Amino acid sequence: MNSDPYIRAAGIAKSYGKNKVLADADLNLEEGGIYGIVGENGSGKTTMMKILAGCMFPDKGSVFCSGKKGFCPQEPWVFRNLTIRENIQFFSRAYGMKLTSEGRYGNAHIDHIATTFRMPEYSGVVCKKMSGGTLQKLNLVLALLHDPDIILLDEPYSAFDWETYLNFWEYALELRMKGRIIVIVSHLLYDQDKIDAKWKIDKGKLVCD
Amino acid sequence: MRLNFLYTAIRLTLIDLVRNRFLLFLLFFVPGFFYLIAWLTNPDSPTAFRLASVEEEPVISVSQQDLGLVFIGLAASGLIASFLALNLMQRNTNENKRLILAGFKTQELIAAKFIITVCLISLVAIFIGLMGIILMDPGHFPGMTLGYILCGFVYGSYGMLVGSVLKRELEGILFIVLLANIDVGWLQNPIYYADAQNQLVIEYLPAFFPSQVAIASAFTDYSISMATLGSLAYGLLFMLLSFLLFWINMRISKHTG
Repeated sequence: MNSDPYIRAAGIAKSYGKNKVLADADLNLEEGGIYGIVGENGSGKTTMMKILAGCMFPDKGSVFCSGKKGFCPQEPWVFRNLTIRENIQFFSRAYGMKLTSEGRYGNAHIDHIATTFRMPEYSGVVCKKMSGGTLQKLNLVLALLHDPDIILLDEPYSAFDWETYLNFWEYALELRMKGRIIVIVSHLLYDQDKIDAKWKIDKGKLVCD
Repeated sequence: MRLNFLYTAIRLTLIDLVRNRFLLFLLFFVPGFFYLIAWLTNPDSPTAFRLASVEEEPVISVSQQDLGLVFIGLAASGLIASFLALNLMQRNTNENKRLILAGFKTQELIAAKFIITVCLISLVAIFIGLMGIILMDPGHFPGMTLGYILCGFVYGSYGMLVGSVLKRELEGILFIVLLANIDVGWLQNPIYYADAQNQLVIEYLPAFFPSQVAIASAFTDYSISMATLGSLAYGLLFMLLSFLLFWINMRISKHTG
């Protein structure tokens, strides 16, 4: 793990046509913890998350980070014509991980998170034939494959069953203990007691709640 | 370029592509159907036309049925290649971006798509060529099949370009069918071309060079080298443009500081 992971966003602005979603938004996370970003539908949470992850460019402002990032988008960005195993192989290669023939997925860490999130294997079944909950689990597992230092989760548990939801929070607390930075976006945060700090997007700005 | 990354991208992108059953259906159904229609409808009487890609512009006389079969082979090759390529570029945009965020290089994904496209197009064209010789006896089978491969390459590259520009499948299909239908299915037919009012327009369309390669090889002994080079140049231009657009669409911010 990187010794001092951080993520800093300064003066972020983003508009879709005339619709100004983010305006001079700042976020500075330098310590391990669980952080929440909340806001109403369409307030810019997902846009902010995509900018933090690096898959969207802001109109203004900059983001700097140190440490390995893992991004779990709101919609499952998984290959629908591939199986769970093939998706894991593809992303493991992307992260530069070597898989062996041992265990379920050839890597002890992957096996651990797959078990934690109760992800079924469905050998030989392509993802497009799986339930929304299973795709959501795979979506999250793909973000955590490489044991990242900064974990960006955009509504990661909306389709989870209750037990997986509880396991998710248990795992998030485990990561916090290890000093990881976890940013969770949600329009509803039930488990506010587990959050170290929370920001609300209000008129395009991130306001500490 | 990391070879193990490229290998994984080729393997899994290919698996993802061939699990699309509609594409496999297209692959086997379209050539057979097209050939059957051409064979049933074209008369066996001879027709004469001027071969435009050859400097001397010789007038040659061939069976209308054989000419129709060569043309329908070109149309099948172009259409299938463009659909395959469109599918390859339009699907999984977000997933590809996620792979790049995770560590793949854009050029590795581009190289995988290029290799898959060229290999599939060649296989499809050879398959179409082999189906063709059941119904006719071309003068030079390898040259005629090369024409099919080049038509697939040019239209496959066009499909990639359309797929890089348009996000939705319906619009992409419309653009492909529109051009392929007018170009390879109509204007490049030498019977139409010989009497066309503005031949220059037809010569600048994508299927001109590949169709000249196929026709010259099927019915004459004339050289096809210039038409082959023209086809490659056309296809490469489309392909480079499509990869440039793909690269722009896949840009990510590394955020390291």
